Amino acid sequence: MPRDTFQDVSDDALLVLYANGDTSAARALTLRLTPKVFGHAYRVLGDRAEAEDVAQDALIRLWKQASDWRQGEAKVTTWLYRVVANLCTDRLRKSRGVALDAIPEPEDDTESAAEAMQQKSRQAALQDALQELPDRQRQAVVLRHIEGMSNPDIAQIMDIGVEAVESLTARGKRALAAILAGRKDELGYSDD
Amino acid sequence: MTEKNEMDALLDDLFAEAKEAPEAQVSDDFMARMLAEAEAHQPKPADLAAAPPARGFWASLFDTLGGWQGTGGLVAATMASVFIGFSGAEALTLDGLQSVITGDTESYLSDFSGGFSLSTEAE
Repeated sequence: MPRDTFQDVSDDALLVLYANGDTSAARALTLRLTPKVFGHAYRVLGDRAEAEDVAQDALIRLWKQASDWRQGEAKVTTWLYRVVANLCTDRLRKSRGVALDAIPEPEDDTESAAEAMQQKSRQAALQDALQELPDRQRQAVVLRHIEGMSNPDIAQIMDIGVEAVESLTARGKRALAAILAGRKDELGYSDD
Repeated sequence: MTEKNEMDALLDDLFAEAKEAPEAQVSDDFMARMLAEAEAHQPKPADLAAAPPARGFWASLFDTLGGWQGTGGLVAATMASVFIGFSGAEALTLDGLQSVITGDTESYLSDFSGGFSLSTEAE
C-alpha cells in the first residue's frame, strides 16, 4: 500500500491543499484517514461491509466540506470521528442484531495458521464482548482504548462532558472484563 | 485484586492486538475506491481558476467608478462643472474677449492690494 509522503504535514493543512486541488494531498489524506474511520466503524458495528459504508459516507462528507473548512477551528480527526460515531449510532438504531460472529478470515498470511487462529479467536472474543456493551459504552471504549484518543477529544466527538467519558470508559472496561472472565481459556490465559 | 489485575492485563493485550487486527484493516480494494472518491470530489484547478462571468461594458464601467456612490458623485461633479462653465462663459464669447483686449477697464495689481509697490512704481 502506498505510503503517506506528507508525514509532517497536519491534517488541517492537507485538507486546505486538498481544497486547492492538490491531488497528492488528496491521496495522502485518504491513506491517513481511511484506516481510522474504517477501524472505528468496524469496532462499533462489528461488520466490515457496514463499516465500509460508514467510512465512505464520512469521507465524502469531509471532501464536500473541504472548501469551507476553517483551519484551526476543529481537528479534522475529531470532526471525522464525530461523523462516524453519529453514522454508526444511526445504523445501530435502525438495524439491531448485527451478526456477532461475522468475523471474516484474516487477510495477513505471514503468520502461521495456529497463530492466526489464536489471534482470530482472541479478537473475535473481544469483538463479541464489545458488541454486548451498550452503544455509547462501546464507542467510548473503542475511542479510548483502541484508537488511543484523549478523554477531552472523546468528549467532543460524543458531545458529552469529560466526566461522562470517564464514567463510560470505566464501566465499559469493567463490563468487558466481566464478559471475558469466563473465556480466559479461549484467550490463552489459563496457564498463567 | 489479582483477578482484576489479570483481567486488566488481558484487556490491555487485547486492545493492543486490536489496533493491528487484520479484520479491522482496510482492504486494498476499499482503499482504491476511497482514493478514487477523494479525487472525484476534489475541486479541480480549472474550477478554482475559472474566469469570472463576462460583464458588459457599462456594467464594468459602473463597477470601476465605484458603483452607485462613485457614479453619482461623478455625475454631480460633471453637472456642477457644466453649470460653472455656462455661468462664467461671458468672458469667453467674442464680445467678452474683445472687451478684455480693447476695453477701457484697466486693472492693476495695486488695485487688488494696496501694499504692492512694484506696480505703483511702474505707473
